[in-house]
Amino acid sequence: MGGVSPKQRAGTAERLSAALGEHFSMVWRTLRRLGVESTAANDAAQVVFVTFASRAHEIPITRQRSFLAGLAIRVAANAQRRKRRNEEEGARVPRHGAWVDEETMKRSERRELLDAGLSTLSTELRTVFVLYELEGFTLPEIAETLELPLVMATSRLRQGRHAFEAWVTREQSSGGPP
Amino acid sequence: MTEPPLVNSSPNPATRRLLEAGLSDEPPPELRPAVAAALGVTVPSTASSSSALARVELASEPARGGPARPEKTADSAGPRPARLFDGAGKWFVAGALLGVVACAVILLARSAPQRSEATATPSVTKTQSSVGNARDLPTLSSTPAPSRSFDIDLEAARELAVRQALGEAPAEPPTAASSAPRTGLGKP
Repeated sequence: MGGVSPKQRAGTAERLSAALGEHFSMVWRTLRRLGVESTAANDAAQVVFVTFASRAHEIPITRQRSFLAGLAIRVAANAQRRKRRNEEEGARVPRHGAWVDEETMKRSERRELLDAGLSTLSTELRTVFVLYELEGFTLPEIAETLELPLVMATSRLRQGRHAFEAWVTREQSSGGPP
Repeated sequence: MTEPPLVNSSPNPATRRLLEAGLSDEPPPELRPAVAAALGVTVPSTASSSSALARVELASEPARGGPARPEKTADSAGPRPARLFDGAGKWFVAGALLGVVACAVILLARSAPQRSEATATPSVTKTQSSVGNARDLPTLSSTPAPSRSFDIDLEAARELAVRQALGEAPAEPPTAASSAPRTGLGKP
């Protein structure tokens, strides 16, 4: 923030503080649901807010949430690329037996299952699905965040929903009780 | 398009449960302050409760046409009008009233000696011995009167004493009725 006046800097600190209070959970969850591991998500969340701090004075308050979500999506994509480069790791699909006890699972186990399901979606579908279904973004907001036409965001959501529900049904039928 | 979210509308309960688990996910509580410290800012105290934050975020659901999500609580229903006698408010009001009363008492206590000094009128009090002696006159004293009603009583007694001294009033011991303000003044 080299060319930022002291007044702007003070305003940025306030904005940053408020953004941390309001949107930190959303950023962290988005990172996690887009495939960033738990420990890496902590660092990634910090990267998102450091980036936000350098641009906060340019971002209108009304676009703050979309801007942070967009940053989280990009940071998650970078983390996924690094992960793929470093290790040849397939989607972490839980054992079939997990579905037998799905109803009695703990929330943390269900989240693992959710992440496994999300990992079967393409990045494009997954991003729209996570923002809409888990973070409460509207489709116009998603279209703005991802710089997509509204029609395409709507189409991706529909495809993502279909693919996720199909995965759940498939896993239930293959891993459920006989 | 305003489709209700799958967490409410999916026909498959397993889908709903998985999405609910995702909705309730929160970062570790120590993470937010750590990031804030690294960035050199402080986090608002209201943000420390992650569950409250989740509720606020969940409360945005009806805005896009879907039904309310299950974890929504009364806290997310909007700001409640401030009530004067809620919580700390009642203590504030009680403190303010006490302060007003204390100020009034102090002002009254101060104004009494100032008034007596300004008029340079010595107060008249009745001594303990004169109570039982009908012939004794009230004694003059420079002791300031503690209150206005006592002043009136003393004035009546002084007037009575003067009249007695002048022979205009019978030398009677002041009774309870006569020593009372005003009632004793007109008695012969």
